[in-house]
Amino acid sequence: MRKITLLLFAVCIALPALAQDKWEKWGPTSPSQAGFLVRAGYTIGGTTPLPLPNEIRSINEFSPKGGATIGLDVYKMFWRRWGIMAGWHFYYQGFHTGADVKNYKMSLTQEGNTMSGYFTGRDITNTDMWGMTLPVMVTFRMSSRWNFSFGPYLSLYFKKHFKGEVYDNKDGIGYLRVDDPTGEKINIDRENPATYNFSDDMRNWNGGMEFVFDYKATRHLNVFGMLDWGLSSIWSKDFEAVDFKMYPIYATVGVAYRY
Amino acid sequence: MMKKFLLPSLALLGMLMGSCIGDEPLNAECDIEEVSLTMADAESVFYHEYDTLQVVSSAVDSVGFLIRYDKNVGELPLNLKLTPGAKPYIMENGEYVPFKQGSLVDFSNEQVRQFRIVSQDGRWARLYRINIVHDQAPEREHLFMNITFDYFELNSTGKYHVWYGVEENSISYDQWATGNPGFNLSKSSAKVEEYPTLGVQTGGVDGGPYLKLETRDTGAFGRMVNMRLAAGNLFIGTFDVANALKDAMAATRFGLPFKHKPVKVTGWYKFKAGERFQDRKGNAVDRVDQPDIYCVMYRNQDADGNQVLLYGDDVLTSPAIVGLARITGVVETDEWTSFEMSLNYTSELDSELLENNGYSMTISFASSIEGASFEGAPGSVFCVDNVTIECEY
Repeated sequence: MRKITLLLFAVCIALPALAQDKWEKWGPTSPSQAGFLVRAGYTIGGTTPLPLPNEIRSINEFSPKGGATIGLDVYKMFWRRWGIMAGWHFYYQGFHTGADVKNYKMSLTQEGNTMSGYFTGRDITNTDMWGMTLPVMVTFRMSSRWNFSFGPYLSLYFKKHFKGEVYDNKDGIGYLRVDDPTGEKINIDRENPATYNFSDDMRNWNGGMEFVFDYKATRHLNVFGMLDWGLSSIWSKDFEAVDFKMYPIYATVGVAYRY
Repeated sequence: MMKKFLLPSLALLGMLMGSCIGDEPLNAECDIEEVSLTMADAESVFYHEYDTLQVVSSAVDSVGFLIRYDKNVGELPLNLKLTPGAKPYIMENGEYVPFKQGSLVDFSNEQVRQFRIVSQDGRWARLYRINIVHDQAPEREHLFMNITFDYFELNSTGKYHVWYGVEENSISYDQWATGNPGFNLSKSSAKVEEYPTLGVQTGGVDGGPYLKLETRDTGAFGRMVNMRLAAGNLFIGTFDVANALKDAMAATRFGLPFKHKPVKVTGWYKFKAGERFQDRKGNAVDRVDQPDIYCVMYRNQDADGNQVLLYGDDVLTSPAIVGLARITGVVETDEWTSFEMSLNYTSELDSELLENNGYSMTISFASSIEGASFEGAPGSVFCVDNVTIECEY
């Protein structure tokens, strides 16, 4: 905070000439200047229902698979502080999770046969996505060295997996009640887990909001933090196997070369 | 400086991934898991001490206790083990009133008592019937029990056949079970005639109904759990669908108490082996499929007074077996062909035990001899009709 206050103080009131120098040193020298950024970063996150439904009782395992993002952003400033930025990012992201669930409504369809009901026990999920994201953002130059950009993105998947299995939890409880909680009880254990693969039930695209903080560390190098918050469920419209919508939320930290 | 954007992102992720677990939902299930009656000197009215307790399968909604043919009961204290949080109600004078555990319930004259169990969350309920019925009086005479396979109907969901009813001087069909409920799990889209165990109305050895067993592929769900085929089967006992996936061998429970001494089984069959015999992993094996019929008489209580039940993995090998017959020499034929097999006894039956339900009997028909291990040839068809169990007494 002190830094910002000082900066604001410097920029707005005190030494206009020096501030002007600093502003020019770190950024576009004229309001209409354009440029581009080549980004590379480490991506972590998960795909989750929001909020977590009560049926999810605990998350016992969570390990993001080390993901990666590389991309190119083009920006153009229209005014001293405001501009736009559009990007083209390629990524790999994924995660592994193990959760204990209770009366978790699910339905599996394979080759035209459906098995549905309420599952209680351990649910393991593994997901991977390869794709590209196209964000269009407004850029706000907060200070000479800090930029904040935000705007909608559209993401297209080249390849996607959403697989998992269900079996008993550490107390040995794992069963499906067929159709509803009064239906036949089918015990499932880890010796003979029931596996599922919803990869083909995922949409090929996702839309959401991207938020990027850029810090100009050196004359050509930025350090950045980026958050892609999915606002459209990963599931196809007619997908009913999972009773709730799930959203991909992934963050990337990395460096960018600034031209 | 990194902190500035790292911290909010990490905090956000943390929040998303675990710290917002909601309140535990109330239980939605409403099962009676066990029913027990309290009675001093239970063996004088029931046959065994353990006959006063019944573990209730999730697929069952009717519980019957068996007492000796010459005994009667009146009011007995009843305990119901329920899904935690579920509330029991009993039908009294036409309406359900709260039931207090351990209170006296009138079971005289074989009356059927009705219960309603409401789940903890109040959204689900199940109805149950409990009664106490008299066993048949023992008749010790030479007899022939005919099994014509004439009595079958669709199950309550209309998916597959179940056998029911009683033929004169024979075994109640309520005692027959099939693996059809398990097949239903894997192939919900199957039509009635696509189930492994099927009743056919015409074309039997006498022109009437017969039993058709066919080994079937279980599709994608079957592969998922490494149970790629289901042999058609029909047997005396129960099929516990709850364990069909977890432990298939334990799901088939063979035999029910029997008061006669079976000595010979005769009947008619047709058989055609499926083209491709496969092992459990689905690999082709150079082998021709065979059907199976066996009849087993066994002692249903061990030396410590515990109940003995035979399962898929020991129905032919258990030390509790006293008499056994198994079909041999089956040939592929599309003409009705007779068969005959005799039970070999390793020890003489104790007549007092026999009268006190100390022995259980099963007879089982299957379209693939290794079907219990999920090995066989899909497409093997085994038709059976007019089976007779000859009992010495």
